Amino acid sequence: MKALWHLDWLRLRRQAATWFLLGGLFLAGLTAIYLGKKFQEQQQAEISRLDAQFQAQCDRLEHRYRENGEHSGYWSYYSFYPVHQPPRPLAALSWGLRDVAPFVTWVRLLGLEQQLYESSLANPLLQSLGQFDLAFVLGVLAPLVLLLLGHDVLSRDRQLGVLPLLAAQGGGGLLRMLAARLLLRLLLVVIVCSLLFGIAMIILQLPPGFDTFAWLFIALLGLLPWLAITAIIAARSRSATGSLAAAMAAFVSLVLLMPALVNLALSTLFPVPEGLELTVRQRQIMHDGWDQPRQPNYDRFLAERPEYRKWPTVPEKDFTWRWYFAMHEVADRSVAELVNQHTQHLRQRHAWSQRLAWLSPPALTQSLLSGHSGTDLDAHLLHLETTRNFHEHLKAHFFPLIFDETHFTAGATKSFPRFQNSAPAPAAPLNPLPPLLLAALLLPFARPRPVLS
Amino acid sequence: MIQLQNISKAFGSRPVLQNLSLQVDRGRILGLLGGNGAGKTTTLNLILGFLQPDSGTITVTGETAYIPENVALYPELSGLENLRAFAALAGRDLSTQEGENLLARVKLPAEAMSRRLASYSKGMRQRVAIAIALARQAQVFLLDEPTTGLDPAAVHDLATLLRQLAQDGAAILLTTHDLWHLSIDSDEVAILSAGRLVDRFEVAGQDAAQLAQRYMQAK
Repeated sequence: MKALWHLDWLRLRRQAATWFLLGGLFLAGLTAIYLGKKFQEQQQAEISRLDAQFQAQCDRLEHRYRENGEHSGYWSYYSFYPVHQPPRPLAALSWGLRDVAPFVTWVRLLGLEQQLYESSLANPLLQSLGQFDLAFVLGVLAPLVLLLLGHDVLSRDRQLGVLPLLAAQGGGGLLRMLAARLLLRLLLVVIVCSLLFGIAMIILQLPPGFDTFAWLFIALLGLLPWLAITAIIAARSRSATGSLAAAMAAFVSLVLLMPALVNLALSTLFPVPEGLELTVRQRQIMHDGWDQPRQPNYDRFLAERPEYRKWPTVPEKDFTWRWYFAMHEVADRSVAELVNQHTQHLRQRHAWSQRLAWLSPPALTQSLLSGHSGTDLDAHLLHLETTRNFHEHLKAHFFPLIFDETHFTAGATKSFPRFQNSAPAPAAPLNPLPPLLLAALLLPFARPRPVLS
Repeated sequence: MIQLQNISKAFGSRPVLQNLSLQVDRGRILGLLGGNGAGKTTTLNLILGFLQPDSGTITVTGETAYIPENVALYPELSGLENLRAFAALAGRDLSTQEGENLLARVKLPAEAMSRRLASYSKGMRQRVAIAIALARQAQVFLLDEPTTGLDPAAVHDLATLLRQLAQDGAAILLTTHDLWHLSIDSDEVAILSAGRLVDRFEVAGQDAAQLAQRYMQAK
């Protein structure tokens, strides 16, 4: 094997394409690390500004009502509270949904659902495979380099006429030659990927722990199915031109077509009500409330909130804040089924997309990496859940004061709740089996054609 | 030693070799003569194991070296690098000095040894291939049309080299159309026609014209 590697290395290092491809991969990786750092810094900067922005808002409220104070309902209506999900350190390597799904949500005491979906999940351009992060470079570009370096390891020799002489050396047959050559190319790609990861660790100051190295482990495992695909193409092709065409067809199919088909199938099987639809429904119900008798709506609120029954009625003509906020909650409740369906279908889609990712190695790798980086759909749903919980906390704090017709005066904002639970989303459990199994399933098809085929 | 016993081979329904038996002992050079499609190259491919016979047995004793008609090596490597790399494939680590000695033995000019193979002539590439065989200490040499495209001086050099190898104990089987080459180089000639062995005789004392006459009679 050593001799095969030596011969191959001598040739590889003299081919401009080798350095062009590996250099290109390295430069792409550096660019992705730079963009990841910028992305992370922007998110961290946005999160770090939240306290100051919230304080500035409180100061404005204090200034506005500095003379005689105002009903707590006014203060609540005009105050916004930031809920955020900080990025895991690894998010800079694998952005996942963090560039399309909100990681900061400003909520106020009004109906929550309309506030949650103000930024939509369904941006097809941003959601398509190919954000330029290190996960993209290692999950999509590194396999492309492996394919381009390895697709013709036998067919090129076959075309050159060297194959019979090589085979006559008794080096252990074409399969051994194929294995040696592809492993050398894999090693080169792994070295570049590991180097990039090392640079990322330094630049992004990633902690050198299990979590961090597990990310690299997953990314490198993701190369194994591609190694098997490259081996199949290299083993079965008769000419270098044919193997290049097969390599490109495989790449386009697995990187573009297959994810698009899976996405189409899942969208058809699990239609998710758009956030906009939820918002419109919720707002419609809330606006209708202005034209309806107030007490029945308020009674609906009390039916679910017995703790507020000591304020059993609302006037029909005069505006009261307790009726107003109760009406918002009733509007929220009226779309609860739709919200539940939205979440369930998203989860089902996510689960199926993870299952069907087996059909596309890059999608599989990206899915595992974003799961491990805490940037996948689970992380986004966790942020929505956290926001809901904090909104409940706001209501528990303000409703008794509002219902009691409390007036806030100067300094009231000091006791306003602030979001404290700023933990990043947890990493999905590490599961190295899918890429290993996929590679194991594909490898048996990599049987070389005979020397004289 | 090379021994073929009752070898038959067909490609689909077309028979290429029929009941072929041959033997080349150590120290001997056998020239396999025949027209296009007679089955010469197929015989070599069967001995090399690139093809499997439909029936019959093939026995080869000793390391086998193969020199194809057009020796293709890696153009981006020098002759010396090709030699060392191919020798390493066969499990032999050559030092630079050992490599240069082998290339000198096959009369490759010293200035060419470190030059990339892309600039080599056919004869020079053939010499590198023979050096590769020598590096492996091969005792069996299979040469497919080795003189095609070589100038007379190169053919003479090749004949000298092959004779030297035979004297050192190698068994050599070569296929050719070149009767002159056979007359100066071979110990024995076997004539194939349509996959059958139609004649076999000692060369000793026969010139190219006599060989041609015998060949025409056999066909």
